[in-house]
Amino acid sequence: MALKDDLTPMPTERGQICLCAQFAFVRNLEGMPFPDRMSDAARRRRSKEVIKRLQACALNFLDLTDELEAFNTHLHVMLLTAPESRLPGYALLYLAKPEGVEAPLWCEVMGANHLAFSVIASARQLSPADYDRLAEQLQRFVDRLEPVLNFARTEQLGYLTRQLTLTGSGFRLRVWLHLAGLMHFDHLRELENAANFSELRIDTNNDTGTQTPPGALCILFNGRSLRYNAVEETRTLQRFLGSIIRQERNARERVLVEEPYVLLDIVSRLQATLRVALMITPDELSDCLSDFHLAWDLGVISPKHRPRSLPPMMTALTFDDNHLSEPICRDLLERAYLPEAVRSFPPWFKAAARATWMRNNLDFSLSRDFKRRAMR
Amino acid sequence: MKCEICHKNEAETVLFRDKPGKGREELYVCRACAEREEAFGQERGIQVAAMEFSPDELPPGVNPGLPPGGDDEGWSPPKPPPEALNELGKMFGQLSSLLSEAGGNPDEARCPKCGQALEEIRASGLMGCPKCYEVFREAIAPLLAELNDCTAFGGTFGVAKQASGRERLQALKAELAEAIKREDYATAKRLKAEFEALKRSLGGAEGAPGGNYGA
Repeated sequence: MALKDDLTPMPTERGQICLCAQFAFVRNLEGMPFPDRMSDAARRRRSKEVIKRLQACALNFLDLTDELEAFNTHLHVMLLTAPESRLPGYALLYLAKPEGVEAPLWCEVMGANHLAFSVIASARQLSPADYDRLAEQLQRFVDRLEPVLNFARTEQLGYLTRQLTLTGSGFRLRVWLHLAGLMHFDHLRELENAANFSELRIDTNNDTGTQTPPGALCILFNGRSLRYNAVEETRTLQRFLGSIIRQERNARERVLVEEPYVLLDIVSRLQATLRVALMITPDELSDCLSDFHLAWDLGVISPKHRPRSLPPMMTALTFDDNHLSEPICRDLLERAYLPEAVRSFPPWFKAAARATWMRNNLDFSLSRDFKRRAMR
Repeated sequence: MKCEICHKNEAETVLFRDKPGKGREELYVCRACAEREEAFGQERGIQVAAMEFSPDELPPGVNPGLPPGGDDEGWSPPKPPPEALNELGKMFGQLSSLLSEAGGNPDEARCPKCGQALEEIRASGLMGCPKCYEVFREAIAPLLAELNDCTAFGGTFGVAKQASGRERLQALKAELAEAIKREDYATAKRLKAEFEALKRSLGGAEGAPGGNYGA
């Protein structure tokens, strides 16, 4: 079966910055250890039991577990539990039209917690008013399952989860943001501080702890779940998001007006990489896509010579080593001229596949007006 | 309890070794020793059978652990007689309470249901099972306060669970009486405040059915 990926950014102001959002409720069942404290056999058995109980609620979940390999490159699936973190017994269910919820619903069984219900909405679906509504709809959906599933909870602490950071409402709202402008002016640290002040967190998706996340991709999420309910948390995040989008927009305009030569340098380097790179790492690909999106958003790319559509910024995740499969690489490299050593060594042929994909999809030239202005 | 082979690590599992001509031998061992025995026991002419503790049967303070390799499909030994386990459970329970009376390290405390150690929770922020929240209630309160700036849930529940609220009220009452009995007035004060708060919240919900808990 095929599922539609609709996480492509829209050529709108908001869509270029706010890429997508994930609303998730985590729940555990009373009286059993969390998944990673179970033996593999017990986890598999419990997983089957839970799926049966969900089906008893007359929910027509589509079980994608047996086809997980095929769905690893699906953008929605990539935002869920990563393949290397899936334990035996992990199951992924999909509900195209959940009752009372406007968007398709994903249900992970025996991930980090017993159950995680997620709705992933693209930029296209997310007007400010939609946030509250989606959070509320999803909460109602999950609440309806409670009498059947008997979730673990206490009056004092709310819903009990494996992570102490989720205990309480068990709710997490994540928003993926492309913040190339703020990163260029080195404002991510300030942004992080401001988020902390608003009881929110920013994940710069960077293990080294520096303020340069690959591809300027950051994740904004609610850091606390004990004090408030899901809708209150969503409102706080939504307010803060509005201010991030304004600041990012200002920063981008500032690059274009005050430092056009810097932008010219960024885009020219991208063109050079596209021409000569044989192999590209996942982080480099993210950076290239980020530069391309920034240039597209600011009208630097010539309308006469540009790709037919804007490749989704999130595509960088598809080309992550965790998700890039051998058949996809072989397919991409079918007609590429490469040394045999590269073709026979997986880390290299994966890197070569990224470079080939980038060359095929990001071919463009610069707008003449912009070039003239930058060189003035 | 220390491993009976290496005498260094905590025992996580019990091994049943069938030595020809010498009958059956029980050993409480750590996971590393259990794996070694399983791998090389046969070569030495010793038949090794092993089992993991069922978490429900565990005495407090003993880590059940997971079977070697993390998959109990390859770890399916014969079951020991249940009466032997009961006896052992009683012995461990007595030993554990003696140790705690002697001032054992609270960081080494483990959840009797899943075996998660308090030290692991402090390091990772990850709990092992819902029971851990009850067992380590006092120890995790500062962690929750640091993460959330509060220690009590301020949100709403999907459906009312009044029965568990009343049970909690009864448990608090018993804990309060116990604290007063041993003259631990600081704990008693905290328990009383918690008791009053819970009583108020339950009373409100009874007055307005579904009011506080309706989603």
